[in-house]
Amino acid sequence: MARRDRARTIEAIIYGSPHFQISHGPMRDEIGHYRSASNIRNRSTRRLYQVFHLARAVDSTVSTAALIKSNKRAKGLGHGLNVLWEAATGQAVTHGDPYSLYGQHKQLIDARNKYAHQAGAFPADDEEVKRFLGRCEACISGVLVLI
Amino acid sequence: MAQNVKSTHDIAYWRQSIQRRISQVLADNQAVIQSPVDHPYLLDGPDVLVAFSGKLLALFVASRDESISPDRFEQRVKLSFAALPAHTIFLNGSDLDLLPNINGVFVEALPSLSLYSKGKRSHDGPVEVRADVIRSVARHTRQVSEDDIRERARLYKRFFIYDAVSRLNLRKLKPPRQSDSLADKHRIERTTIEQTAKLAESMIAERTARIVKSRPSDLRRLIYNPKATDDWIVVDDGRVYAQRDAPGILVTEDFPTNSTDPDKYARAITFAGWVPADSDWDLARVERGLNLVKGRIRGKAR
Repeated sequence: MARRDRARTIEAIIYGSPHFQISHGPMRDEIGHYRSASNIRNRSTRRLYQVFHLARAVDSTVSTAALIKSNKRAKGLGHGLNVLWEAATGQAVTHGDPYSLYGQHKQLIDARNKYAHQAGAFPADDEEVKRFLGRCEACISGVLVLI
Repeated sequence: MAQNVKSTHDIAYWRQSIQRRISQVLADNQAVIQSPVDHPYLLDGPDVLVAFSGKLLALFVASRDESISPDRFEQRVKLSFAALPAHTIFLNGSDLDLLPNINGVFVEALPSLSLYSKGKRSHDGPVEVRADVIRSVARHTRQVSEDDIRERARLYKRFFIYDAVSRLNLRKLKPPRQSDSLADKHRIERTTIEQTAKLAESMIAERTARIVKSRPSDLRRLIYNPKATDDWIVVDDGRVYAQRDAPGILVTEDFPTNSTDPDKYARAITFAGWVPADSDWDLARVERGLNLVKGRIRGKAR
């Protein structure tokens, strides 16, 4: 199946959420940018654009979800995931628990931070980009189940 | 072969006409109507996903295979039910009596929604979507309680644990990629050592995980086989429960590749309650890992 179908599926899930009725705009815009980024010719630019746009969608999905669920403003992606997980399970997250939402998406957060903050850190190949994008999509759809 | 080509063309036509009809009925320019649905956790999801003003409809139509064995259709619905948000409204385009366990979820007014003709995805007749039915469904919202979310979180936690085990196995096989920095390599090494220690710890646990071998081409059939997944996800009165203690191990020679999402098969198989393993792997070791998982589930998740 095509990448476009998956992006549209994610978009539908976001737009169909009662919690995002007002604030779905920015997330859907990012996903739209992400979809159109595949037309960029320059390889490394294309990869970075895809990575950034989807990572930004993940970021605001998670922070919005955390705000809705527990009225806390998330300090970052990791904190937002922890807040959400606490709200969903009703238990405090122990530090470094690999089986929490944060532990599940740790690789995503690490990769995002590397691409965003490290000079010269481009995704090495298309395989890496695809893996990252797949994780982002899984993260968004997983987060939306838990709110 | 020629018939295949024809039927895919017909399904595309069917989808288009459904999309057209639904957008006419809803009269909502903003509605997102997507078909085919490609969900990251599902190999086969709903046939059509409709989103409009904070509501999500998932539409299911039994394929030819599924109408021969209704259990498989039920299985697809179950897995989609666990993967999609709790407020999703599930619509059955085919026979309602097919799904006794999920009656609470399926909206009852739908036999009149003749989206399909018996036995196969509708390609023949014109698609009829009755406006009043869709509107009445659109007004309907499922109440989502805290318990519902908690039960889902429990199921996802189970899925994360299975996933951690399968990723541990995968990592053992693959050497760190060259693009990884030195710090990454160290981190991977460290976690592998920690995990190995934990695996050794769990050697005392009893072994009850079951092992199923499968050819790559049969994976999809196996996942949607009701016997295989039945005790993993239970849907009762609109809620999902995870109940099996230990996951099964799925041994395959190779995963079919998905060109746009390399991890998709591993993820979908894990989500269906299996830990994928390559036939090269040391099965005793994998099994020890699974017993560790079992201990964890008993001790912590419950």
